[in-house]
Amino acid sequence: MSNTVYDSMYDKLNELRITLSADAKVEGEHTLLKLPQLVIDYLDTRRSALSNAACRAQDSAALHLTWMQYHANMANQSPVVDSVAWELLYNELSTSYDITVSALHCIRLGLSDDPARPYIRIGELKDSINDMKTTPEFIAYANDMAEDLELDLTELLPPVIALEMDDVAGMNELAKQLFGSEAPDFLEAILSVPAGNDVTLA
Amino acid sequence: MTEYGTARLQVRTQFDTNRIHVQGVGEPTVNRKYGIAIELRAPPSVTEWLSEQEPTLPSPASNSTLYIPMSVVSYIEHEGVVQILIEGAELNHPKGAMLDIKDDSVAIGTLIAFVKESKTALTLQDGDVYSSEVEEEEDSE
Repeated sequence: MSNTVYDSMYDKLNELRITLSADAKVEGEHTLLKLPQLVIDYLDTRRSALSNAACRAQDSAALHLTWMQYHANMANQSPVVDSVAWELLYNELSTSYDITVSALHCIRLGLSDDPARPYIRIGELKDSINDMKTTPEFIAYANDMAEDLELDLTELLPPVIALEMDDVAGMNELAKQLFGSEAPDFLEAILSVPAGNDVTLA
Repeated sequence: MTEYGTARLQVRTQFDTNRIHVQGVGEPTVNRKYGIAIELRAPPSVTEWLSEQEPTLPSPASNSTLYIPMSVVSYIEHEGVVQILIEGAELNHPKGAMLDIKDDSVAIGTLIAFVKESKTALTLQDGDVYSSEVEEEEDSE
C-alpha cells in the first residue's frame, strides 16, 4: 500500500508544528505556547464558578449536605477545561495562525487547568492510522487539504467513523416508522445538505 | 389576521452566532401551528447586528417580544430573483439588512414557498436587484 497521502499530510502538519513552536517557549521537554486571552478568560470564569460552589459547600457542610452534593455534581460534570474551551482554542489559533481547525486537531495539544500555567503544550502529531483505518482527525484534514496538497483521497484507508449500509437501512426504517412511506432516504438527505450560509449580506 | 395575530414574517434578534431563527405566521401551517419556524445559516456580521436590534414583535409560540420584521423582496423585472429584508437600523440598506439567498438551500426554498403561498410579507419590487457593493466607476481619460 502506498502511504504517500499520509506522508504529504505529515510533512505539512510538521511545518505547522514548527510555525506554532516558533512562538512558544521550551521548558524541559515541553514546548509551551501562550494561551489566547479569550480562552484564559473562559477558563477563569469556569474556575471561579467551581471555586465559589466549593466554598459554599465547605461553609455549609456542618449543617447540611445540599451544597456538598451540588458541588460534587458540578465538579463531576463541569471540569475547568471542557469541550467549549477546546473549541475556543481551536478557533483562536486558527484565526491567529491562518491554519485550519482540522490541522490543529491533528496535533497533540495539552491544556492545563492551572491558572499559573496559561499555556498550550504542543506535542507530537496524532496517529493517522488505527487498526488499518484512517483516524477521524486525518479524514477531516485530508478532505480539507485535498486540493492544496493534491491528495488522492482514494489512497486513504477506510475511516474509523463511517456509516455502514446496515446503519443506513436502520435509519431509513426508523424514518418510515416516524414519517410514513414519504420519509426521505437518509443517505440522500445527508448528502444533499448544502454547506455554507443560507443568506449573506447583499 | 390569524389566531396568532397578523400574518407576518419575523426573525429573532437574539439566537445564535451562525444562524438566524425565522418565524412565519399564516397559512399554510408547515411545521408549527402558527405557520412555519425555520433556521438559516447566516454570517456573524448579520447575527451580531441582529442581536443589537430592539425586538418589537411577539413570538406566536411564547408571546414574548423577541422578534423584528422581515420580508421577502421579489424583483418584478428579474424573474425568480428574491432577497430578504430584515427591518432595523441601517446595516447595508436604509431599512436594515438586505440579504442575498442561497438558491439551492432547502431551508430557503421552504421559506420562500411559505411566503408565496401565504402571500405574507412578500414585497414586489421593480428596478435592479439591491446590492450594497459600490460599483467602481470606469476612468474616462
